[in-house]
Amino acid sequence: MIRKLNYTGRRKLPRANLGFQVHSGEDGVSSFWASLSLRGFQLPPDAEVFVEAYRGASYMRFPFGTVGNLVMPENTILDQIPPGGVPLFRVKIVRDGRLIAVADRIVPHTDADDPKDRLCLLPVEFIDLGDIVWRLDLSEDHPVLQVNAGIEGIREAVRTDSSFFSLVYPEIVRQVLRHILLVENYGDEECDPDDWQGNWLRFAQALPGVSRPPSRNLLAPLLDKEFWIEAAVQAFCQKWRVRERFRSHGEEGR
Amino acid sequence: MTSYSVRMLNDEGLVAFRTYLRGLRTGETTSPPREMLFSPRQSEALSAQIAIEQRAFRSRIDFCEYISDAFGETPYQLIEGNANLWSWLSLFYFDQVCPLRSDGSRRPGMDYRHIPSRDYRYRHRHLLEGAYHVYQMYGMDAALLLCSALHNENSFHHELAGRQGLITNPFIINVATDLYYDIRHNRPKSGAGRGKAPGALLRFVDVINQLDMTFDLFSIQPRRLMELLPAEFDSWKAR
Repeated sequence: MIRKLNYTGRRKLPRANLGFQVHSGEDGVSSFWASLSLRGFQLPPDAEVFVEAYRGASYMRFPFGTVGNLVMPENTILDQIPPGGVPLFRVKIVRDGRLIAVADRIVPHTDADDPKDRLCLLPVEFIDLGDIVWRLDLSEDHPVLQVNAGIEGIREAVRTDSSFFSLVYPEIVRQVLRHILLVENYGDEECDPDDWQGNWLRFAQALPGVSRPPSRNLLAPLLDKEFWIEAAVQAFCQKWRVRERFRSHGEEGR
Repeated sequence: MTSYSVRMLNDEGLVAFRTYLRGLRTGETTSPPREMLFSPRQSEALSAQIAIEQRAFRSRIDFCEYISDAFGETPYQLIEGNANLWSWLSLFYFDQVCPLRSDGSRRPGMDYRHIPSRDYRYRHRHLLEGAYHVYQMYGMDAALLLCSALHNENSFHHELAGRQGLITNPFIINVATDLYYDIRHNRPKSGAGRGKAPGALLRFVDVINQLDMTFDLFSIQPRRLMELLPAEFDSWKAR
């Protein structure tokens, strides 16, 4: 068993207690709304609370009052974050310059997400992709679906188009799971319980008929992981009736 | 000196500029396609009037000072993130962002040094826009990062500007400048940007990242931050 040592004494805030929603304005500039639940962590009431939004080398910081008196700032416009992308959020609890508690890499909900989703697994970014329609960006702290903002009606297609869903999302599930299990060789026994990889594996395991993912043991055959990933993709398609959706969309179009 | 109205390369212009850069990388020695700068086929007018001159810049910060003045009151949205505009400027000043070498060749490096990348991880690497972005945050206090020639991204810009936790924190930039900038000679102190020498730039990045685990570095004033640095940095403070 691998143990993690915490030499700094700072505490970790569960992401489930910190909700963020990003809204895109018509001019492309976003703002956010935050819901912070800090009760029950025995944090000093006079400790300051800061929310930081960041993406790439861009960063903004917002004071949210103190633990005992949380105050959302009037202005939460993300005008220093490049338009089109989804920023991540960080919450810091600070006293005399020291970090008492922190939660990092919080993925916000966006206007393109289903508001009923409790957890945002896949934020969507609308950016200039040249001639590419979509791609999955796995290079940052979490997977992001990037969609070409230059295609007319694409925002609506991402939200409601059955063809887009049928053709794109199963492939995303496959790519993400392959990245977690084959590229990163991730094992949830040693990692942050609510990091994005753990959330995705739990999402896959909750699909009908999907077992626990194969162990991280290097001796576990690669094929086991491949089979497990394909089973998860099949289960995803079964749960969301992907074939039926795709067919019905084609029939509507005739 | 003749002044020119700033324009933007259009899609066709960008493709042609990329092709030219690719050609240079494969050993071609043709002249920059300057005709595109004012050709309506490959460039278009900006909605604001900005006049610039073809002048020589001593450093990236010198360019930033000049172009900021030239931009004047131009709306921020027309400048920030406008890849077509920054690509045009790169072509306009191409002899400085990609100077001719003694053997007649040019070494352009990656496209993103001349055409801003769509990928935000490389956006700050554009030689002009990346410098301007830092200058917008810190003005002349960004000298440590921007004191190099226009075609040269120095190690301070390279290591600090790509890390949002560092480049966006004025206290960290202030401390790095105090440690490593030689004010008398307007350049980094000798050896400060190279290797993992005790207390040099790469160690600074490591140590700041460690401190960031314990402290909120946006709440720590530069003096206190300097005190938190281990003894290996003392020699840089004294120089």
